[in-house]
Amino acid sequence: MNEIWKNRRSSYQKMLLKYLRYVFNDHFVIALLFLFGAFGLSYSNFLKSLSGSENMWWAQPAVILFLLFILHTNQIATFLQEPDKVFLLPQEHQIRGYLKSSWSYSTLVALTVQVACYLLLTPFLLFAAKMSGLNIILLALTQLVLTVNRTESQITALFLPQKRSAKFEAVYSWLLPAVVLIVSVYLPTYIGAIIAILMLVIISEHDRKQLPGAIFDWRYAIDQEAARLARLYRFFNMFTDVRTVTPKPKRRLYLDRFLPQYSTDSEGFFKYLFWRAFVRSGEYSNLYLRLTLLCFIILFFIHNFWGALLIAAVFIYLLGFQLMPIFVVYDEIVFMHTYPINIQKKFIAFSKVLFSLLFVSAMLFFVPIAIQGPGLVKVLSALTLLVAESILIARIYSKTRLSKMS
Amino acid sequence: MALEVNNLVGGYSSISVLKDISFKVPSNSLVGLIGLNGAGKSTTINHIIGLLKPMKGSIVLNGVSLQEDAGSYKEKIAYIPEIPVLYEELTLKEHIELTMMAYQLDKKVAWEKADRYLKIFRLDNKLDWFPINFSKGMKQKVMIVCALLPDVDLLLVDEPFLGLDPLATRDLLNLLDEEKRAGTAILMSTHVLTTAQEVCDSFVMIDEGQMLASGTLSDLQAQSNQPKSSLSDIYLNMTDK
Repeated sequence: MNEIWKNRRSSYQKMLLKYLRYVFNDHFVIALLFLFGAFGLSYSNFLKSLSGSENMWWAQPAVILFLLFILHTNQIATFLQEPDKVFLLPQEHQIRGYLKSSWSYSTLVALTVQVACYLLLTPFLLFAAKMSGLNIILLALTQLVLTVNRTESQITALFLPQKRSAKFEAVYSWLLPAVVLIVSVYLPTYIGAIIAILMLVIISEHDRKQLPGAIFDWRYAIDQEAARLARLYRFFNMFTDVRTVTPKPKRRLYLDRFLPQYSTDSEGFFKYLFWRAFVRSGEYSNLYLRLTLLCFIILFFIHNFWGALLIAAVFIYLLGFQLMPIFVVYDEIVFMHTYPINIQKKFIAFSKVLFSLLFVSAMLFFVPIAIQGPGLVKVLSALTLLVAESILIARIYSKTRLSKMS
Repeated sequence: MALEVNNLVGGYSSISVLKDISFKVPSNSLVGLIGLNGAGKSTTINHIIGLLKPMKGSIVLNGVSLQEDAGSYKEKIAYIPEIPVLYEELTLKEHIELTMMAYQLDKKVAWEKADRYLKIFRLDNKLDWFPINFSKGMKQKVMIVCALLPDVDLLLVDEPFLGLDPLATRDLLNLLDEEKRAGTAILMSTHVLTTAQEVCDSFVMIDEGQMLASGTLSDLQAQSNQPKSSLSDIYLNMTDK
């Protein structure tokens, strides 16, 4: 089992390295350097602007929220795979040793991430929250203890089903850490540290009593790992093609009323399929919502009319590009070839669906641009340009792009 | 004569898997396509449903071939695949509705039919389920229900008995019989020879892509000089295995 774990870790790291090469390609590295520089500069300017002001009531809640958020960025890596529940079943008695390795590895990664984020926060703690050096170290200690506690409870959840309930999650991984952080920030910091350590000791003592009789839940563990990898792949997918990980479809019943209904022409047939694929497969709708929302928010902060328009245009292109695969989503299904449907209508249906989606985004992007009041002429030309781009992408660009794909 | 396959040569790439296959599937009959794993049963079916193009020979269904008029050819066939394939994002109900849309069926009439099949296969309370929650047998039942909805001339059934429980197998056979009586030509590939012997009207035996024999059980018994032998014995003798 130890051998298996080592092999899997090294192939996992190889996989990360392979994809990171794509993520940090030349252009992106240059862009990142600029972004990082810009971030550093504005962060220091921001802190300087704060140093004069007295009323800093919001600094503490901001610290608490930030720490609570980064606490949840980590997840244990077990490297378990679907066939394991068959092939590794005879080795089940050794699974605890295997998980011990995976716990130490995951904890180490988690602690590193916490330290890195915490270092970023330190200037803010000094100048905005006005904490002393000692308290900053104590708060860091508290955060690290909370991190260890979290990875531990993720491992024990693989054995103890009660730890997976939403209620448990809410209390033990959100409420309690929040309380600890609030205490650390508002009361003398060492109290928070003591509570965190006590919490760790009590919970692990409690678990130690329950664990010996508990049964390892293969299915849950495998699902968790698959979900973790899926998140990772989805991130990499923004930069390069990743072997597809299909998330489970969700019904989203409340959206049913907007979906196309029964229709006997082939265009209706394809629209019926494409809309359902978009809405219910987590892949496309999540991506669409995230990108649209991100751009929508960014646009509120860009006060240069042409800059904002350019960003909106780039995002519409990105959206169109990312939604292209919907066209081929069901091509593997034999009935797409045996049903008496008019295949010519497939592209027409697809481009209408794509246009509707791009049009909604374009309208949303138009709002922040218009609100900044660049004048009627500019507002109208922005509107025309964005809609024209949506039409171009949905009707013409997609045609050439899809013919390359298939 | 509903389906006529004449001198079919075909396969997946330039290498031909099927070598000169010819047989007929008359209306009102259930023909068994018999062969071992890898004999070429699924390849034959893939040619008939149009996934593969014949290299030589022709496939004609009631005077229409796929090459001449794909639209009206496809309207006349329905297919139950060996491995169930479903749309991950569609519920059971939507699978049925989609089939109705594809074949342009009258919604009301088709739903009456569908409800009956769903009850037979005990799927009527699972209309809102996603494929991910179905067992293999259930998925196969969905395939059957969808394939039986349209009124077709030819029904292709690829290895239907694996994964179905005895009750579902019986119900499927009853429904196939019903379709047959209504005029449909049915081609069913299988290597479950005991069941095939009971339910099929005639047989097409293939091995390594070649026709071994075809005809009713008594034809085959006469051809192989083995009167009273079972289908399984005849087949194994013919393949020398």
